[in-house]
Amino acid sequence: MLKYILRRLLVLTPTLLAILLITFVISRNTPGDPVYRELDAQFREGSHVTPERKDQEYARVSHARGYDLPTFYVSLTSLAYPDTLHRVLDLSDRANLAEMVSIYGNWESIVSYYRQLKKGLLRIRSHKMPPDQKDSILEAQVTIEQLLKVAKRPEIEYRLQILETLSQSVPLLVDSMQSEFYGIQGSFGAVLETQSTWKNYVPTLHFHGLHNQFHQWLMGVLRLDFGRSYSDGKRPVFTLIKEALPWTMVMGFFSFVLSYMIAIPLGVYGVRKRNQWQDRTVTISLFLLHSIPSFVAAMLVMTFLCNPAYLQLFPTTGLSSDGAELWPLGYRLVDYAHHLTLPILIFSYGGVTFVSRQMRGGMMESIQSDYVRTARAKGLSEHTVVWRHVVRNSILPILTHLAGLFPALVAGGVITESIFSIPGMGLLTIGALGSYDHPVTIGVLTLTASATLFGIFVTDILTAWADPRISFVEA
Amino acid sequence: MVTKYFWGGIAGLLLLLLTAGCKPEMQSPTGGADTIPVRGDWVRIYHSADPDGLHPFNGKNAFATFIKENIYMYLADFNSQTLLSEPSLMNGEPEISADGLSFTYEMRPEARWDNGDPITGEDYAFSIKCAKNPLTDNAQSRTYHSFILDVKVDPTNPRRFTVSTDEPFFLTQIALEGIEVISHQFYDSSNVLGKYSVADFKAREAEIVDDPAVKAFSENFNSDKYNRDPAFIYGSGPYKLESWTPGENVTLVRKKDWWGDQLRGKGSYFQAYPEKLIYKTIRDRETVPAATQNGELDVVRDMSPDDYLAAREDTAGYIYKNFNFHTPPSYGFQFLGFNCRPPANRQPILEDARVRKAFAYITQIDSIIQNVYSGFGKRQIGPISPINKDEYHAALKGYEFNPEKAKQLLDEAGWVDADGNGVREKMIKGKKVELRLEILLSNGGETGPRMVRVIIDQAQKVGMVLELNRIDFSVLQQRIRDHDFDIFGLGFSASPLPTDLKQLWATENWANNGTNYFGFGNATTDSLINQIRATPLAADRTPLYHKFQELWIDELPALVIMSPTERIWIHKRFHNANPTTLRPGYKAYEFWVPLADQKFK
Repeated sequence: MLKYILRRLLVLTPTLLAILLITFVISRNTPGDPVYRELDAQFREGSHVTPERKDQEYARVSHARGYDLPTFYVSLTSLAYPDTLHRVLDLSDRANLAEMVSIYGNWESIVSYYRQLKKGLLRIRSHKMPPDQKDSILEAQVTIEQLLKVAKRPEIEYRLQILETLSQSVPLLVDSMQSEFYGIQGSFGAVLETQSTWKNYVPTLHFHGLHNQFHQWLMGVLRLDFGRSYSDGKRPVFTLIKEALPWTMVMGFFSFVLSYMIAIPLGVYGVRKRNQWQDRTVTISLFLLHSIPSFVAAMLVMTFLCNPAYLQLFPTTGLSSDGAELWPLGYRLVDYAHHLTLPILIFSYGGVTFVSRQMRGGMMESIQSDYVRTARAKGLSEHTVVWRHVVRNSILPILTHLAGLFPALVAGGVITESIFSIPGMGLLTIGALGSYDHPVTIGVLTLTASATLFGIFVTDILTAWADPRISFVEA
Repeated sequence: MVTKYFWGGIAGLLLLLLTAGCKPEMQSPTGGADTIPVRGDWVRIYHSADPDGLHPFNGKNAFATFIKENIYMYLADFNSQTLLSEPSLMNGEPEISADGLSFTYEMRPEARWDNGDPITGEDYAFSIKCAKNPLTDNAQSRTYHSFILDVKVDPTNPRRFTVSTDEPFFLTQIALEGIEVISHQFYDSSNVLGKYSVADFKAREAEIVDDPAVKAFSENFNSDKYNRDPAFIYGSGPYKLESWTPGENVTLVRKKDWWGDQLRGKGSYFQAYPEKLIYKTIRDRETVPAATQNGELDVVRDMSPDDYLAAREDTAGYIYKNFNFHTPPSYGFQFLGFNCRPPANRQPILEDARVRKAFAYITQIDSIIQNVYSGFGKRQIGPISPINKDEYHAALKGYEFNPEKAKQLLDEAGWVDADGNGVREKMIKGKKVELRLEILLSNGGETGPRMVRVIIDQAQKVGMVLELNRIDFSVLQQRIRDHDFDIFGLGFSASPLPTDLKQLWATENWANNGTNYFGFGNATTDSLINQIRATPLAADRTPLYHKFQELWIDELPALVIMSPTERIWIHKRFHNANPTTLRPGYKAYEFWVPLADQKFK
């Protein structure tokens, strides 16, 4: 058994690493600039924040979050691609420089052109702007800002042409900015002259050591540090998960118990009355129940059981009544149970059909086995035969559902918790998706994937323990 | 046997849970004729999300703002009905120096912190220092208050203080009176910031940033406890935080001996009647009508137009019978913005104001407000809300639906359908360009796409092709910041403050990746914006605002669709529950319920 466990661990560890790597790749490719996203609330008052202040804040956050580090331990790029591009803090600048490298292949000239653009931008931002020339000076500034976003030759040359025209026609620019404009033009000329596109076809391997974004992120994940939420007061993602998880687990536990307590006896009942009208009625009823989407079922129970027009028996939202925090513990527990009854029912009913069908199928196979015939021949009652011999042997396949339990809880929680306002993992996930709170989404994804893997591991162990014939060890 | 016990257990559990539903403290409203306001009862308010924190400076989202106004106080506040600024912490209007740069205030003698200490000029100075401290997590507030040079407290009267500012600015007084005043003794018991004056936060910024004591103070000040721990949420307002269950509710409880009770009747803020304000977070808006019917909510705002109409028109329904419906106007507006100065990678189609106007002429705004927004909006012509009567140009004419006029303008601009394929075209820089425009919308929400589809249908009839592109909101932000768009749809919120046009419409904010995404403006409009900002008297600003709006509507950098109206229902047992144009559309602390009708005691 120990050998089996070790073998399973050996297989699962690289799988876990692969999952974490995929999650990391997703997290680094979410739409938009994550630094701007984090700073958005501070930049909303656009006119009050100077461009210099914006740059400072951008650099501070970018550095603090490790965006100025290489992405991974190793990178397979071309000879043209520099191993220092990650030091360019502005992510859109970085993307544009990468595109330029892929077009022109000469990093030294490209970076020199980039520096000229930055220098020109800095200079023109602090330029005097008399009203009669302000429009043209701003046009020059925006043209330089746009040059930082374009890589293709015609698009660059078109803008350089605009700059040249402005530098010759606007008196103030003729005096003060012409050398900067010529510098930009000249450095782009150098980019064209020294093009070395062949370098893009020579693969190169760069090693970056442990000081990289993935390593930083992975170490954080191992410490259960998934970063900070964008929207919820920048609180640590793990704190949010810690607050949400208990409610999902409570709901999951009771739903699990409830659905199995209903489903197993129903499965058994179906087998005992197999092919009789009772079996058919149960089967049809379960399939009808299964075909009702949970959000429809939730709205139905809410309409008929939480409404003064019909029956006002249950609360619709939340975990507790108003002011319940001042009640004695016993009252509060009952109050929680009162609030959780409908969500747990809605959470459970979908599983009943599935588990009872599994149970019935497994039992139908077992009930025709030799050992069952032997048990009957020994004169055991039908009740004893079914519950003591058939059920015990048919319950094994149901264990395999454990692996998918956690993701099912989160996925199921998205609907049930949203409708009943239960602050669990599902609600956390849907809230994060709705508000583009990528760190929370990625945190939940990482945790769910890891928990699924853990579930598979536990299931394998339990299965092997319950049935020694299953061992996955080569014969 | 097993199943028998199982079903018996379930039945027992259900019975237990059903009996738990009976709450002895609840009483049915009986309706009363009392007219004297009394304290008591709870107000349960629907919010669609939690606040992002209740820190005096660092909590920023709208829900935080709505809750914090009951906890912290400012020197002055807006009256919910007159919309005029009224003294709250300050004792009357300030003395303003002749050059308009110094403001001398005095705190009310009654104003007290919860421990009985008076609220003084030192507290105000400390609040400004916290706002200006580069190490606190509030860059927005920091830059907004950069115009404050110093705060000097009168040595003979600690309640009296003078604030000096750098240059005349029309929002100076409002900004000075709108900062949360916090207790320097509570937040800084070691008096770390006391070593520095307000002026030092500019003159000695580098030294302050390196001071280990300031670093430690700032780290503590930014910590999460000041965001959500009831023991550390400390203001001078009538309510304090009782509990916060994340994702479920935030409960504020009325202070028993609030200093403002001595001033009842002297301003709208000094009438805080409800014993508790409970802000309930319900993510799924579809659930809200059911929760209202089940008696779990007293105030609901921001329902979808369809749900709101359904409740309002169901005359036999519970909500109709027990709630009052309100639709106060709001200051915000929704618009479609044009790229008036597109970069080289986009066709310069919208550079020509005639094309922008043609777009306006094919937009059936009144029909859109009625049919897409179910009438929950008011027509707004330009970028200034009609509620701001001192600023709004009432005589301004918008562009009424007129496809013939649109065709004429497009013809004049050189856009003709010469090849007969149903799409107009024009030669631009030697190339044939078809009249095709992309409209960017964020991929949340339903009404925006419905509105755009109405416009697309009309555009086809005049030979213009519009393509709707729904993208992630952060990508939309990036694209409009980079001016990489033709047309985009967005909404802006506003407030009763005088309108500062600089942020959206000054040319310098077209550059610097600023928020003049449209590329609007020229020397004349910039000059008008600066004149408005330097004119202290509202009456003197009026003609400047009018002139600006005339130029704006002629250039048409954006087509304002409407100003949305709030959609609110409030339980009938509350008296004084008047709608207001101040967000969120009601002031829960003003509500009161006659003793006989109080639901919670």
